[in-house]
Amino acid sequence: MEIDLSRIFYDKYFGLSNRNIKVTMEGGSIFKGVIVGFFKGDEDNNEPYIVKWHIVPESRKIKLGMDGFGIIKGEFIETNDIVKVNFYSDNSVILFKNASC
Amino acid sequence: MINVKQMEKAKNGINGKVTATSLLVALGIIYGDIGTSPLYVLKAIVGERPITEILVYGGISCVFWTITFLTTFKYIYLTLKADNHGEGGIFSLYALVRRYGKYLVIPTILGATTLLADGIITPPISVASAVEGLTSIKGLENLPTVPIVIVILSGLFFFQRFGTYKVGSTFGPAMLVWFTMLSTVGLIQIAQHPAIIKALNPVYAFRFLKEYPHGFWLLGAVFLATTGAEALYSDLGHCGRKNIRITWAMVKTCLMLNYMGQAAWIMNLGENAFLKGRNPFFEMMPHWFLIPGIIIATLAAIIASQAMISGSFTLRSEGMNLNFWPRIAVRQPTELKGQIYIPSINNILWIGCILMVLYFRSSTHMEAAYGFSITITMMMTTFLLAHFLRYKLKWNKFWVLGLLLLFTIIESSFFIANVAKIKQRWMFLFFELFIFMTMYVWYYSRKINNRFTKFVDFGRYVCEIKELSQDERIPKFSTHLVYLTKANHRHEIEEKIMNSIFSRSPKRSDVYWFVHVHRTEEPYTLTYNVSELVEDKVIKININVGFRIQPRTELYFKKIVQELVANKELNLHNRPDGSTRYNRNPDFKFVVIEKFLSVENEFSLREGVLLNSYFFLKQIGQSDVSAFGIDKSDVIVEQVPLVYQPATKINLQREANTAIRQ
Repeated sequence: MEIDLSRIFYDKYFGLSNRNIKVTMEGGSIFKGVIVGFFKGDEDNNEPYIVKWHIVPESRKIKLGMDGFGIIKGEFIETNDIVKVNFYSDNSVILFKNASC
Repeated sequence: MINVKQMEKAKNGINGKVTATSLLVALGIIYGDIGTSPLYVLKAIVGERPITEILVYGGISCVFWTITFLTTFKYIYLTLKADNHGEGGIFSLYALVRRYGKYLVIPTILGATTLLADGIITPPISVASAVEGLTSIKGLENLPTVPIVIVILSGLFFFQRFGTYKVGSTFGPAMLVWFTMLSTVGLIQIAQHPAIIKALNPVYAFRFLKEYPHGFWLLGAVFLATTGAEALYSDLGHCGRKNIRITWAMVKTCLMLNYMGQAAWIMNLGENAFLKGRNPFFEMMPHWFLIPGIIIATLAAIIASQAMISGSFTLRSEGMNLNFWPRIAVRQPTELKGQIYIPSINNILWIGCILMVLYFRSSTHMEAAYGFSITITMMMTTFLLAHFLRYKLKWNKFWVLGLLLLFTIIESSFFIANVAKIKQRWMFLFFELFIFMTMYVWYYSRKINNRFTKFVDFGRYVCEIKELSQDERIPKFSTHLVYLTKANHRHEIEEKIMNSIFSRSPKRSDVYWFVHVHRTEEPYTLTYNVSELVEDKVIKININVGFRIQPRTELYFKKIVQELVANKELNLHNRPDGSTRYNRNPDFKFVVIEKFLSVENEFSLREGVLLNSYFFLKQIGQSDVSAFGIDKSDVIVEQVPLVYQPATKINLQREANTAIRQ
């Protein structure tokens, strides 16, 4: 059975006290910050446990990922596009894909 | 398919055990449909054709081998293995194999659609065939049977609201009388033409298909002998596998004796004679027995119809619980576990059956339209069954492929032969399309809906919730605030719930409850577990409810709280207004969050149609409050937009060099 890296990420992430991370995406874009929300996949469709993550820069201190007017802040990133996640709390890395460069 | 007193007995211990009572119960519950087939099968095969040996012997041979392959081998031997904690039926089978392929949902929807559509023709054809027996009585040849059939069917649907508790116990003995009559009447005729026994030789079936002109197309009539097999599987949970298998041996014998008896009577009419519209089932009875025979046949037809109606309720209820069907009001006409009555379905079936009677007017015309739906159900069951045998029972893949091929050939032949019936049943296609689209839209829209449900980490809100709860500057909303959540892990929660608590006017409460109702793949699970996320402040309850149980969330919730208090695991807080002094019942307030489709959406044509149809169905269906069994006086409904695809690229620009005008 294939390992679901989104589940490993999820379990590790919500067990941390320092939740600052760096996410490297396909295409090279990088997002730094904290996860404020996530969307679950459909098990019947063999999707990852978490299909999409909502990440905001830590400095924003946004609780629900939106500002006072309800405008969504931060970025939504898809699990399938993640190359790797660096955890600042223990300097560990989860490799989702082999980096192309 | 079911009658409830018998079903209750089954649930209370008969299920699985074999006793004389359990066998009688099985007779009354599961053989209504297949057991009343002799009323019309042979009449449909012979029709207006001249009587020949190849037609009659070949027809009987086809009936025998069809029942043997499809009913005995496929359903009684193979499919009954696929019991989901004792329950059968296409939804139970789907629940067993769903993890082995996302594509399995389509055959499930298709199979359930055709099975449900079948529910509006089985009662009319059974009752009409029985009542038309009256025209065999001298002097009543021109009796108008349509009003009698309409009165019987209307009465049957009217009495559904009261349940079948009082009359249910008579079904088993009544069906025993029916099967005894079938075999006795058949035997008398066989004795007069014993050569008919040769018809069991498969060579006659082969010759019938090969040599009789257009013999293949007569398979549409032959198939009517096995239409009840699918219903038999749906009723597995009510009787148990052993009881079904043992009683089937007797039932099959009685059915074949009757079919052969009818064939013997037909043969005695002479070569090249015609039936001239007569039904051999009634014609072969001794004249003095005709009236008792018609009464017994009518009772059997009513029992068969009752089984089909109850089966439709059960199927719809399972469909709702597995998220295939919009939520609609489900009632329990008696205190008996498992007995349900769905008013809207009852009305649809009633109107559908009456329209069928008025449109076709006679059982002969109904026979020409009956059977097509059930061939599709059977093919879909075969497909799901192959997955069950391969992946659940770990059967050798070549065996499974071989069986799949065998049944595909047989069932496809019946399907092709039944296609000719489409022109007689075109109006069914609209009904089937409606059922199929409803299930398709509901299932896939819920998937989209779920995919856009955002969860957050509850841990981030713990401090705020504690602060809010103790902040006396904020008016108290309730002592106990209860939310229904889809989150199945203790540290996660939907964002919309956090929004509800903190946005606009924050909702201050002494205790916050998050209740998660988990529909299990087992039919009758009812368990719960409790976790305290913040001591005495935030409590999460997971309730596991089987897919055959109607959820009564508020009742379960209050019972759980009662148990927690009794075990001294929970303190109930005082009411904010001091009214606890006068009323010691705890003050609970439920918040149900309903979604609506926001105007801030951009989506493709398919998604747009799916989601708009979904919200339309939600409007005409049952509200979340009723569906979860929550008392309206304790509940607040909040509407939140489902922003599926937020509109992007808003090209809104401020005019150059403009300041706010004074």
